Amino acid sequence: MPIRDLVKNRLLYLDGAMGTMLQAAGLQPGENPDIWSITHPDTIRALHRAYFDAGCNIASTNTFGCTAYKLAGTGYSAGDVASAGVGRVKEAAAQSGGTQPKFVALDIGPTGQLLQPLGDLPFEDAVAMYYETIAAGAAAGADMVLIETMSDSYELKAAVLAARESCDLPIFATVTVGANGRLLTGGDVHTVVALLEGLRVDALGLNCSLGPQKMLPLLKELRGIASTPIIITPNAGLPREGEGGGAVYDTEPYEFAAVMREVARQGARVLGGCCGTTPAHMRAVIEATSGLCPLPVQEKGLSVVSSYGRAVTIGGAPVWIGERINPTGKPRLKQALRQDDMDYVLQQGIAQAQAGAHILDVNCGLPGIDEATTLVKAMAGLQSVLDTPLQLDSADVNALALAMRCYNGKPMVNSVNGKAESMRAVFPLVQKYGGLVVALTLDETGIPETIEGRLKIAETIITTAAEYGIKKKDIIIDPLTMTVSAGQKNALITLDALRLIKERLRVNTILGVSNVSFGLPARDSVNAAFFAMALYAGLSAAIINPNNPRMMETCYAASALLNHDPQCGGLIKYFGDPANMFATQQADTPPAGTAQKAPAPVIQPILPGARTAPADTDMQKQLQDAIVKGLKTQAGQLALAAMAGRDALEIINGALIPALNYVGEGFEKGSLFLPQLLMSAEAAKSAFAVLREGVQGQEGESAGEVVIATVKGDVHDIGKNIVKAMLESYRFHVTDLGKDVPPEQVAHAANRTGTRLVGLSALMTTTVTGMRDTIALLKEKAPQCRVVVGGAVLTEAYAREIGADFYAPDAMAAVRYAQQVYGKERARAVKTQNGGLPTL
Amino acid sequence: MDFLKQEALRYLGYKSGQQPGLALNQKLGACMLAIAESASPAYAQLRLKKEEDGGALILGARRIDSRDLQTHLAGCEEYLLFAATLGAQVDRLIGRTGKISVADEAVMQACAAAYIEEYADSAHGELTRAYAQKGYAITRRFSPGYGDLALDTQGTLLKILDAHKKIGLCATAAHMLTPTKSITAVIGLSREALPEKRRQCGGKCAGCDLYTCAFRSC
Repeated sequence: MPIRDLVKNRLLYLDGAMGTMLQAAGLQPGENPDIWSITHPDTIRALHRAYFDAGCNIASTNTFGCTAYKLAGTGYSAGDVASAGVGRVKEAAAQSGGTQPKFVALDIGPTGQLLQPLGDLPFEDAVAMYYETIAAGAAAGADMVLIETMSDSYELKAAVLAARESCDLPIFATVTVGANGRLLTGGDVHTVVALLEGLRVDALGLNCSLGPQKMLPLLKELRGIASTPIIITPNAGLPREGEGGGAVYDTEPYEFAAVMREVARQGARVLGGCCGTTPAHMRAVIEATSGLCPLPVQEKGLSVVSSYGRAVTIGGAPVWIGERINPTGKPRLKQALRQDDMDYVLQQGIAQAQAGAHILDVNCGLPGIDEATTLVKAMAGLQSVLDTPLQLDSADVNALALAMRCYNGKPMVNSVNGKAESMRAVFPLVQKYGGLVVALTLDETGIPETIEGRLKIAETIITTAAEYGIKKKDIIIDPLTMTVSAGQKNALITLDALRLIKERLRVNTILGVSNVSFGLPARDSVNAAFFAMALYAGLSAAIINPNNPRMMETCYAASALLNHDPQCGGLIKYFGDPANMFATQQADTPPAGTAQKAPAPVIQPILPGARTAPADTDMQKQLQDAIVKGLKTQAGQLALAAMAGRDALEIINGALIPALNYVGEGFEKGSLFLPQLLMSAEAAKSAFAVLREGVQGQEGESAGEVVIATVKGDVHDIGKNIVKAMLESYRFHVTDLGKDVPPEQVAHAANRTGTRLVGLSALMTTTVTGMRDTIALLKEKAPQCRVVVGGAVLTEAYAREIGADFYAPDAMAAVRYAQQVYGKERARAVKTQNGGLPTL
Repeated sequence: MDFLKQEALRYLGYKSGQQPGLALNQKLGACMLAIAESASPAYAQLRLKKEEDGGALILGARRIDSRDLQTHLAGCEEYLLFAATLGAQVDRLIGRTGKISVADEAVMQACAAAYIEEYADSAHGELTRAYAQKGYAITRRFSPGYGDLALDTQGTLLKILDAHKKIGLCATAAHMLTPTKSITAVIGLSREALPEKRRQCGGKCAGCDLYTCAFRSC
């Protein structure tokens, strides 16, 4: 019987430890164990045979570290080692007299590298590395793939995808969690189950790290959410240091077996052992559990989306999806996407997550840009700083495919609809990469005007999805919000359709809310009313603006009224925050033509010598003070107030530049420190953002273009970020290429932007090589550029040696050099106009 | 917490006795709290017998030619490979902070650096006590990248220690540690008592000869 069927019908037994046994056989610390399948075939074969003789069904190959990275320097390829590994297990199975069904599991462990963005291994390189191993193992005759001891969900996804793409073998996958129940890179059993069930593995579970007793509570948690057979493979207790320095595990076979019997009784169907376990342990487990009838695997029907670190279940309390990362009607976001300004996109994401969004919609559809590349970039950027799951939103199937592939977790996907072509394009993606897909109730004939019409399309979508193996739990129906100003019954039709679909099909529902009020006055009020009605009609998730206090108030109030908020705890907490108490009073956008300017806050000048002065000077003085003090919000407000009737350039020259110079010189003299310098820079930047409008097209708009990057090989970017902030405060336009940037990309950006200055940062001696290569390429391809370098290990002499034009020991030095390159000495000249600043 | 704040200030360029203003002091407190919430600090160690070949330490299949390491391990028959990390979430926290404010990011970086040093010190203290019971004196930490101990020792050290599996610590192709707020070190084990300078000492910088270092604390 194939293993996919067996695992549904009976308990299966994996083998025990490999590493522990190899160490006992003489493997030295740091020695590659995997090549022993080739160099010590008898030892490895005997080891597998001992597990088969003990009664195990599945012996895993000696290929835990069988990747090109870990095998480097051994003289063997991953393919050679995988084939040999499979060969040894097959030989052992043939030699063993055991009559139980026997299987060869191709064992796959971590790559030993951290994937981007935390480390430097690109996701697709990880997939390719695993592909090489698994393809060879499958060709050599493995019966299944066992992915184990994974502590990073992204690497886990890479391994499962590689298995899917290289063979048709069943996939078993286990992760290792700490005593806190979490993976090393974040995440827990909820995120792991979401990811692995989305990727349709055949069994999933836990191995290593913990002894069997400590795995029991985690098994209970797993059993509550998983609809897939569960694997439990614990260590033989916790290790202690042995005489020789290595780890020793003390749990005896009979003790181990006693707890594993309980593990089986509580629902695990595949039992095995990890570090410290031996054939004796597995023999004891098999004896202790062979009479047990395994608990059935039940479909839990949970609708879950996840990121690497957080899972969100849809179907209980309503879920809020932030709508702000969508360029439609948002000129600033359009500009950011066109200019590749991911910082702005990420700021939008962070603000929405902080406002309470459970999921963030990400849409990068904009004419004239490469949507797939931009969507992936935005998604990866958001996932590098937030654990909020994402809704990947695109009408471009290629963009969706690329983003779904590289997404770390199980994404929400927006969207499919009732058109045959749409379903043909989107469902295979959901089937392959996993996802919870938004299904719009429209088809080739358009959007039905009747509730029955929309119900019928929802039914068609669910039926067609089932043909791809996509369950109803992974579909969320959108009965479509239509503008009420275009049809008086539109809102009612949507609400009634929502209720009917929910009742008849027992499926989750979603709406984008804001569309209902298009063209009407008091849109926030209309949206809030519609939203509350939709929640009562059974809405499971809503796409809203979480930064809008009226919407968030409605979220909390309706949740409390609809019994989704026990003891109204969420509501009380929300309104207990002083920031939220009176928020709606400022929420509605003022009518056109009555735009209010924020009143200038009254702050006392901190600088001595602030004499009674004419109103103009006083305002500038306050602005100067705000910048020197590093008060970002006040600086922006004061700049706005100072703008009234005054020339923006005059404010820049009279207040911004003197204040910045004051702080900059203080830093250079050692009387002010980095945090103060940066806080002032941010305050100046916030003031300049207001004043920019007034100097558009003039000389004061930009001090010049600078391209900056942390060089190839280097993952530390704080130095680069500091220089960027300082340059921007001095009104340089900075193109920030990020970290670990290849030389070619720097040269390309230098030519694309036409900059005269490139700034490069590197932290370590080992990455200064990357800097040297980048400078050499710039001299060849962009000879118009000067290069300024900085970083912990650099010195002036070292900088000269690698061909840099200037060495900046700190951020102010980089600013001064940029001013020199662009010949902007105006700042210093202006300073003499303002003698009011104190001596440092 | 006050000690941690002082250390963070040192990384931000403050000299002994220079005090931060109220705003920065509050920022330091908030950053320390955020790090404490995000961090999942962990360490790993492995005791090995010292094997030498012509003055070079044999580490797995590799010869480590480092006079400074040799001096560090003088008189020790055994040593520990040591690695500690605050975990990946702290890197994400720092990245997220930087998207909103680079001033906060700089403070967060300094706080995280102070935090991992403090954690490594406490782990080191734990090991000192544990090995004292077994009759060993224990040296201070000596890390790849210091003195003439090449940074590319990092990969070998992590591999032998199995640091990726144990605590999720890896090195990039350029031998940088990821997660970034991490420390690796070699610690000597001696059956003889060790002089103050070679032990884990009060002044963190006492054993280092780089007297011109901007961050030197003693």
